[in-house]
Amino acid sequence: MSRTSRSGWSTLVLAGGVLLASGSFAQEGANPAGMSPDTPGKEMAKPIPEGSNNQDKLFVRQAALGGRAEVELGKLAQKKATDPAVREFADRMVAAHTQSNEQLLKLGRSLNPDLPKDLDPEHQAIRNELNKAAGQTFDLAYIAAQILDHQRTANLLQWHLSTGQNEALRKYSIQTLPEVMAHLEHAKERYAVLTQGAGSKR
Amino acid sequence: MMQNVAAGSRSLWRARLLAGFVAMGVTAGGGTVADPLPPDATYRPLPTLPLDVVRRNDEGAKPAVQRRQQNLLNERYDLADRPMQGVKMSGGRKGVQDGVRVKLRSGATWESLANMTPEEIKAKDLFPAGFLPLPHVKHLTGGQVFPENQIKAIGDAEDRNLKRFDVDFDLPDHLTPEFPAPIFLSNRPDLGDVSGGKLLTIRNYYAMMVGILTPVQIEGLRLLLTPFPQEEFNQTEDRKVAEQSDGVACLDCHQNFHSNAAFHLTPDVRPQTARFRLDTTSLRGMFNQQIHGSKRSLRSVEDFTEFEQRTAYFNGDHVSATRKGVHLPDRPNQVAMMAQMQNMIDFPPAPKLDPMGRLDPTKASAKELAGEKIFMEKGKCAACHIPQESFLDHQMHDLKLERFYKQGLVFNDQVAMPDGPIKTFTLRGIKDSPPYLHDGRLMTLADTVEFFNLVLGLKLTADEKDSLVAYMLTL
Repeated sequence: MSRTSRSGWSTLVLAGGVLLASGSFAQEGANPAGMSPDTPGKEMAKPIPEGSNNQDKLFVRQAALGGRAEVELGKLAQKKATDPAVREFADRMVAAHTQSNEQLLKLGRSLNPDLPKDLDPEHQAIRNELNKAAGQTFDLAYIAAQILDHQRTANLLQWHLSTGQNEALRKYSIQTLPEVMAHLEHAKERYAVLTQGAGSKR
Repeated sequence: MMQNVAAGSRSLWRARLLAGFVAMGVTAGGGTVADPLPPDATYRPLPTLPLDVVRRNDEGAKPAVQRRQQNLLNERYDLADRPMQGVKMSGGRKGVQDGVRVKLRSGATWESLANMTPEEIKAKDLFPAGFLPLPHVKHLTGGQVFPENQIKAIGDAEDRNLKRFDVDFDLPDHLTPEFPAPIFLSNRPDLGDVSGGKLLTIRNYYAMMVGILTPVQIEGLRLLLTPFPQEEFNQTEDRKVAEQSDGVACLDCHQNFHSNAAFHLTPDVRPQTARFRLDTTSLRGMFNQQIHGSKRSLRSVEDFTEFEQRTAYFNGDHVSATRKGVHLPDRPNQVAMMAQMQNMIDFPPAPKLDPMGRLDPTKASAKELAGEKIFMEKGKCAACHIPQESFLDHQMHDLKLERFYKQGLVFNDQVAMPDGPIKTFTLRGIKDSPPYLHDGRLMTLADTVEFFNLVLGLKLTADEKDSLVAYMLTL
């Protein structure tokens, strides 16, 4: 066995991308041009891993809003969906996003992400529409909204990985992204079944 | 009658669905998405720190950045220097690397993989990591990275600095094309290689080419060798080179109209983590290429040449380009001359091929002929790489590689994502063009055979794989 194949990187690859490697990977990877000017250690070229920038803050806010909507709309679907497979999807959303939200807020609360009390206006409107819908119309409307939400969350996570600075939050994004992309695939599959079409499943 | 009832209930169902969509449309299509993605998911942000601080931090992180990339490369590939016996690239100055270099996951063999379905390979996480998209050495910054040979040659000839302070080139020299590459002209096939073993630069091109090229071709060549501002090499504080820079020239990557394996990120994808690496493509045989750009499918080399100032130079961000000083070549004059010059670049000679692009049986070996048969039939290669069309089909194809791996895993800040449709590249002179695939993820021709054997489900035997490599060396 070579030296490198025993390294942390090897563990990382073999573990299927679960980030176990320790150290200052945020500083390794990120473009320091986007670092927050008040990051401790930057003058010594050793920015601390706990440092954060505006993108980190905005990410916590947007991801928490999205996550909250996932759980709330999921609970609605657990009650109202007719198709058992859609209820199953809703179960998955409630479980996964409840856990993910807790983790995110634990990591991000110190950044003061300025979270509103209720859902954001867009998800409030979706909730209103879903409250009015019933039967198959509900199932389809819920899944269609889930596709859009997961597209946006996948992009939000990728944007954060592209621009964020805080090491713990970047780890969170790395761990969460494959799961969100799997949810997106799942939602597209449900959509294809509900519409008797191929939908956008690849 | 029954059918009518069924059709009726279906249309009722459709109407209900439609009503559902309309209801949703009120919320989603009302013109206001409450919180769209931030603008720096698409546009290049302005730096938040002064250049000296950025540079200090980039230089501080550089050893770890290089180590991290080296670890990834060593994890995925055998990078050893093992040239084939008796085979050289077209200029006769560099060997061609032998053998499969992509490493298998523990517990897999190439044969066992070939007998599994994509779903099984995905579920068991057995897809060789070397078949996944290859990250940029510093993916979140991206941009053009030149190999040492190019940096040194341009530094010596032009006193122009192509060395970045944040990253170095990541592949060993023996896995890159011959440098300087030979130049074959389609308008003077009688001459053979006209490079004289030298790198074309803005300082020597005239003396090297006067009397061989026409006036408009020489002017096109001058423009292709003239540095213009680029995202990492420019006069502003948002750059990755120590001094204010005049920029880069087209032929800084396409050295001698071929490639030096300089790499970049695709300009056509956002956000940054989703962008794929781009290995510099050769310009040889441009005259027969009908679509240009791995994603954009531009329909002429003129279009590509004109727009490259927005893409290779500035990542598809015309806003950043405007700030840093974009050069927009004049279409009827400059673009036409640059394009004409590129169209004069021929493939290297392939003496065993007949005028139809097929092997001449009086010149080719039995193994090469066997390889051609696999290429045309069982290997399905010729479905896209059509011999009589310079091994092109002028199409983009989606290999659907994500059938084999879980999406969304992050490797050195790059998200493993489907590549989608990518244009067919020529195989003429292919032994001169390592690394392979649009992002350079495959190091040898033998790797490409294992890749397509798996991706297309070919179940080739060991002998058939060897013959295919032997055949590709004749192209």
